[in-house]
Amino acid sequence: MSGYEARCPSCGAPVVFQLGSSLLRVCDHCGAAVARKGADLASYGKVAGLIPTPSVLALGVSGDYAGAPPFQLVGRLQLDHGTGTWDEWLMAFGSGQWAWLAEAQGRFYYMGQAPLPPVPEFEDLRAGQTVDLGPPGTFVVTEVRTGRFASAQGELPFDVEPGSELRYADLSGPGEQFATLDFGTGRRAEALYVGREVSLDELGVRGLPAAEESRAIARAQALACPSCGGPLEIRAPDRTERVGCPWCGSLLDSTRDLAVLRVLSSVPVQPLLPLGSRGRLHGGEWTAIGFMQRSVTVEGVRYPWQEYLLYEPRHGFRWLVEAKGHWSFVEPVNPGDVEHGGIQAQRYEGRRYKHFQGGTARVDHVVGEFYWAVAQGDEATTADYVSPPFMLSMERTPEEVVWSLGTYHAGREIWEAFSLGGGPPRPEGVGPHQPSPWSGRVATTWSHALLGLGLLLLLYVGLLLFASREVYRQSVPLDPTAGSGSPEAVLFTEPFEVPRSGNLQLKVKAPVMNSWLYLDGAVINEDTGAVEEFDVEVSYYTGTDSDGTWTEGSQTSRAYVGRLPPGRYVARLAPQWGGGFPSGYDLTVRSRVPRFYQVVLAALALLTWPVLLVWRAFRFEMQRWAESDHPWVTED
Amino acid sequence: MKHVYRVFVAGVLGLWALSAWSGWEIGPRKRGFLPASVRQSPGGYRSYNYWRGGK
Repeated sequence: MSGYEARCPSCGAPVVFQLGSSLLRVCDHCGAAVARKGADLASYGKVAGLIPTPSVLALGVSGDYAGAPPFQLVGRLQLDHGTGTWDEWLMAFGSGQWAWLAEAQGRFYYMGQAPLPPVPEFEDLRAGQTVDLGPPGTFVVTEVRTGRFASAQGELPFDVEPGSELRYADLSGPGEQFATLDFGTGRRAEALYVGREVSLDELGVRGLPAAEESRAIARAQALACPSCGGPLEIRAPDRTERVGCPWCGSLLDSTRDLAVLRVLSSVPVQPLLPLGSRGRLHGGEWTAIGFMQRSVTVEGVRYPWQEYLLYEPRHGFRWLVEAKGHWSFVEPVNPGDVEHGGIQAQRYEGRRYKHFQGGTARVDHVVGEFYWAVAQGDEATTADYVSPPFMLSMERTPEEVVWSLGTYHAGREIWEAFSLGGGPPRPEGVGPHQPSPWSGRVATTWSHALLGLGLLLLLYVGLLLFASREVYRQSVPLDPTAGSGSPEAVLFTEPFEVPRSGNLQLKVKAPVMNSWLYLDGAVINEDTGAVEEFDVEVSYYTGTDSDGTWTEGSQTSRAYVGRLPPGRYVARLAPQWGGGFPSGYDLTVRSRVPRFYQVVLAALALLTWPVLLVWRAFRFEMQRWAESDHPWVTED
Repeated sequence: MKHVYRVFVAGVLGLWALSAWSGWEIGPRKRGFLPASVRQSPGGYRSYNYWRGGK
């Protein structure tokens, strides 16, 4: 590092700029902000004292990151965006380069300098819009804010007077990348930083285990509500910004000694899950520390739901959301990894989520502690997308956009996880991302049904080809002198052998044309005398009309006699005709011919259950979407 | 449930195969009987007054 040493213009003490590129240094002796102005130094006066934050880092801490030269923390910037303060640490590498290490809610983000592409001006940026940052990719703007330069320590790479308003935009990119566009105090972006979330282990930070451990197990604090005097237990004291008193409902500012922000006399809604409850879900042992009731109002009707803030020192915060007895475990999602998934849809981690509903969500009641400056009446535009058992949710305010992923849980799972007494409230209707009990069964049952249908068809063709056998065939000329229906026209066939039990098909083919031939028939078992009667008619008509040529009927017809035992048979055929004299007919007799209508009946039987399942699955989905912005059936 | 349906599929296929094999038909059967004396006399079939009906 190419340093620079000078005297503090305020107190004359030596000030050392370890980074040659640093432009501001807080004097260790008098606390003045000293700025480099070319070859001269100027003092901006004394910098406000550091705001206490739960940071485990400190100036002078060193480490190794991703094969880069060793770094040292040489500067600390504290920014206040009105609802909280966070720290940004200046990492000075041995090579003379530098980067930011942002710290918020116990998470660390390494942000390295990147070439600044043309980007919109600050006033033109909106949360949720996408910005092409060049090689790093296209990012989503997640936050557009103005922060105040609250305090600093060590040196900083820019020359800005303490107390100045600094404009910035945070962005989220593919592959869990983060970026910050730094606008300084102007409209145009001055710098771009790109990076990702890192752990202290990845940073190779040394000498902090005791500090980190102390933070991870930060003990709960027992306090009293200044409004009602009720005891308050703050379970995440190093993270909490707002506290809703569980006794009187007053909203307190935990960053200002529990200053009362809003006074209430009672808690209008009691959480189902008592605050302080601990439960094991999704690989963590969570403590419910906050509860809020939110709602959307559609056409004058208020639709409330409940959200529980869960806290686990090493994993941070999660949410448990309950609406009409349906529960969701909600985790944050990197907005840059959410892609447009077509019309009214989003795609996240290869899964497509369909738009379910949107609206303006309002915070109605808060109880317990929260890591941000929540307030009753806070509003956000929301959009929910579902792909059971998941729900992808977007919340947007003018300053920021947040995405989260909810996983559906039945109430009894929550009750078991948190060891609650009694039973969960009975769920109403179908939850937006409630898994359908039918969808899995539908696929399995249909696969079995199709397999059954395939087997059925195979058996049918097999019987037709290999089991069916022709047992008799005869061409029968008709005597033109014999009248229709006369005994002279009656035919008795030669005896024929039916080798196996089964049915008998009698096929008659006659050259009828705009005429008909009717055969009154019977087969007689020569051994037993049993007679099985049947009849068969062949009729064929054709002509032309205004639509062209038409035909009706066929020159071939079949009759079946069922369940014949094997034996020697004779057939009797008594013909009648009309519309013209048929010169004769061909008779073919086959045994054991499978019937196609029976295949159809069997197929219908096989499909009954799958079709019923599809119907039930359809009804389930219809119920689900009835509560959405896209109901399948409307009252109109 | 899928096991129940598998059994059902097997049952339907079995029933169908049985009906196809045995020649089972839906609907009433028109059955009769010719005495042995008729069957054994030459030309007995043709002249026997069992035959009747027509279109």
